[in-house]
Amino acid sequence: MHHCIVCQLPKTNAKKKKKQKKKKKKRRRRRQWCLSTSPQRFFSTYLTPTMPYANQPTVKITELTDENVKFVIENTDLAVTNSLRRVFMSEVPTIAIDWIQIDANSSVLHDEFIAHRVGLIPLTSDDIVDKLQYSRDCTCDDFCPECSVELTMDVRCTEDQTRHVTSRDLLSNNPRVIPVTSRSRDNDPNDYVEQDDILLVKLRKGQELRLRAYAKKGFGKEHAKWNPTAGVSFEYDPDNALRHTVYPRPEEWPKSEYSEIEEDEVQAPYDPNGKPERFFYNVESCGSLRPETIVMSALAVLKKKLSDLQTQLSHEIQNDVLTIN
Amino acid sequence: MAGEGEKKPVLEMVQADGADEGCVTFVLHDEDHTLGNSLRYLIMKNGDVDFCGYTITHPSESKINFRIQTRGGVAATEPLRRGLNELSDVCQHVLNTFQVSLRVRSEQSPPVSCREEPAINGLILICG
Repeated sequence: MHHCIVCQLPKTNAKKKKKQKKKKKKRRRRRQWCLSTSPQRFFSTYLTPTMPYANQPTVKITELTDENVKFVIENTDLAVTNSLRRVFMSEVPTIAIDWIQIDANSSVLHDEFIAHRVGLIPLTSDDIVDKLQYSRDCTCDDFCPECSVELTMDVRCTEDQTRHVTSRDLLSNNPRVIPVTSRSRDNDPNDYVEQDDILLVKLRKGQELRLRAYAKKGFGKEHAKWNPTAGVSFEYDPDNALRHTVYPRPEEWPKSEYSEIEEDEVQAPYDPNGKPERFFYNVESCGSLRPETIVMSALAVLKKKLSDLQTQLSHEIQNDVLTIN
Repeated sequence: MAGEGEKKPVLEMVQADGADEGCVTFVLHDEDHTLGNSLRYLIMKNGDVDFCGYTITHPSESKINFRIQTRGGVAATEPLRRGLNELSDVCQHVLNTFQVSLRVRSEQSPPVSCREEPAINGLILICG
């Protein structure tokens, strides 16, 4: 009994008899293939070592600075690239202050106002965030160096002049986790970098602010303070060939920096069979993580989510099998 | 069929009575469009799948109902398993390509600012 080499099904007899009627001089290898296979079935079984239709995206970095990374992804689909954008913003873990004990506050802003502002200060999380555990997973009682970083602030205004309380007054017990704005002058005191400290509150003579805080690991889904990006720019089809946007007057709109049409053309001609092909990203970091770290961490997080789901699925299948049997 | 006792289940399978194993709704907890849409796209590319869709039942709850209907007697868990593998492969591929591109870039251009230097030295050490 002959079997199709692709789908391993036995070859049907009906078509075989029909073929036998014709005299064929050449012995063609195609006879080994199943004659009753539909094209869709054939392609899905033949072209699938690991991935169907070879979803092998290419990545090209066009610009890389301390603050942002611009890159282009091709040969993949809108769904996957959009998921990547969502993960950049909401699921990349960073470190931010999440627990504050205010010992003294005689400023004009109330306690929770200041606590909210202190929580939003970005802290340098490069390299540390991978080693830190989530507080909820840690075996300690309250906080420990494995899952948190302690920061303190003690400011009292003693002069007649108004005292600005800034992020520079926040002192950390781990020198690698400090407010992002405090980082610039540490490396090179002579190199004046244009980076102002974040203003928290202003104190008059006699007012003071004293607090103790713990910074924890978290991600943007829980609270925006853990979002490592300042913004993620995501673009595809810069000349609107797919007409995903319909402009009432296209000539009013400025051209994209990735535009590939002539100066006098306003939009590319309509392509009804087109699909989004090239995706242009510009990931701008707020300073807590390096931009390339944001991208790599996002991909690692996405892979981890998928592998967790895979193990869960295999457990479910096993449970099913056990209950049926 | 589902559930693990104390821990919250991450994935549950719900099947209508009388339906074969080709039509299953998976309830994925703590998920949203991030995984839902990309999984749906990859599973739809599978030739065995008749229907694949996901829905967020209510915006206040972070769970999705992910439905797969297959034809030809294939179990519905098979396209899901393959889709998860494929998406994981795509992520790994993008990660590798990105790292290669970073390395190429750091070898080409000299460091821009003194703060960038430690990171680039680290990268050159890795590639040997």
